[in-house]
Amino acid sequence: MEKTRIRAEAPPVFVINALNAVDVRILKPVQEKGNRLVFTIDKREKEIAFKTMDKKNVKYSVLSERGWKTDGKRLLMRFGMWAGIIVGLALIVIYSTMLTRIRVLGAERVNENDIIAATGISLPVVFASPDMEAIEKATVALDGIAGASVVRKGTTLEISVIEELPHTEIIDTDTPAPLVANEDCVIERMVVVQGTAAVKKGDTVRKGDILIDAFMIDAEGNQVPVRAMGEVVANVFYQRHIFYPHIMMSKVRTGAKETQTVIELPSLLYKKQSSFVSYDTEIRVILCSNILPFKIIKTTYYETREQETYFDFKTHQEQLVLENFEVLSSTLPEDGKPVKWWYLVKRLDKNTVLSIYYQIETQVAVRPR
Amino acid sequence: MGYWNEIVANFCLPHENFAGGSRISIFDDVGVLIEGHRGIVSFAPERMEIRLNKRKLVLFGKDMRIARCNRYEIYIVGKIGSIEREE
Repeated sequence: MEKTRIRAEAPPVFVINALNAVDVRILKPVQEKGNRLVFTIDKREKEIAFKTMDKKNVKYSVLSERGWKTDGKRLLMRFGMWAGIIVGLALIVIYSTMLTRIRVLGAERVNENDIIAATGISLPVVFASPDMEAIEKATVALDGIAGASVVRKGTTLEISVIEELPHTEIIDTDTPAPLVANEDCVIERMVVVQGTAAVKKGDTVRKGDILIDAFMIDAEGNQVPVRAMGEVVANVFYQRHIFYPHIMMSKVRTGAKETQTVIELPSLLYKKQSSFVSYDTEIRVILCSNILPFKIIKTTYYETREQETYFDFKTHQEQLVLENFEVLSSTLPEDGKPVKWWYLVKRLDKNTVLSIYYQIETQVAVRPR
Repeated sequence: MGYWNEIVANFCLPHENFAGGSRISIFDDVGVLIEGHRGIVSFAPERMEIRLNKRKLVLFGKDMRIARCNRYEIYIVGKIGSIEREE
């Protein structure tokens, strides 16, 4: 029911009786201070009520009108709300057309970033309509990808890939071939699975020597060709020799120096070369300010000359041994098990020789090429 | 009581057959429905006066208010204490 709330300024009883007399139904009449009455009537009876009150010289005012029609009209006039709803809907529509994420499924050996880069999409994309077939082709073209399927799920592009099988090594167990040493070494232990052992523990072998022969002896003493198989672990010795001359040429400062100060501006640097033939350089950078984009560079050139100096090996021995041990260690095979290391120092007439030795235990049996 | 109303009473006919007058229905703890009124004399939360055909009906109570009223009936809600009829 459409309702109208009215305030009448007249004795309440008079207003109620007057309206009742003309068949106007009054709801929830409330007497206010100062002889005023607030009441509700059916909107359809509004005209009769107004006429009656006008006739009786009753002042009145409409406080509110309620009902689904009135409320609907009022709602239609709320432009701010409609603008908000329209903007909200527009944002939802725009968001639904966006691509905000690319998800890669099934990539274990192939880098996900490579697959994402292959799509050629830089996120986020508004009004995105990616060419799924082109992305599929670009993905399959990558190394290590056997198949791909691209599906768009909301704002996410889901790329499912099937990777190629990893390359497997096919082990030939039939063709007769021996196992040989890949390093000069001393045999530590060996396990022969197939073939005949050609060496024993403690033997010294050179690189390329046969470790396991490619035959077996049958019951009648005949050699039956087989493919040699087994493991041979040996001690391999790595060494490094360095010569340090007793007299070394070094540069010493003569005492003469010259200074040059320049202001370095972005993309512009003027630098004057030193007039000395041989010199040391010392550079000091002075920042003028964190805000200003230039700095002052003060360069000092010290004249130098070559001079023979005596190199005291013993003073630097510990440091040189450690440095050269690090260099030797970095060249060793990773699968080797370190056994021990040592060094020898030999003082000769003009040089001192530093020899560093490193013993590791490693697998040495390989198939000859 | 008129002649016709005496017949209705003596023969125990349904109440709807009474001619003229008013009907006052009390709904316990809810309110009072007064049918056949002749107008409101005064209304206040503690006391309400309703004009009937020949008399006046006075209601005493607390928080009384008119829920709805039209030419024929008034429905008063609130705590009704007592109802009196005045000449």
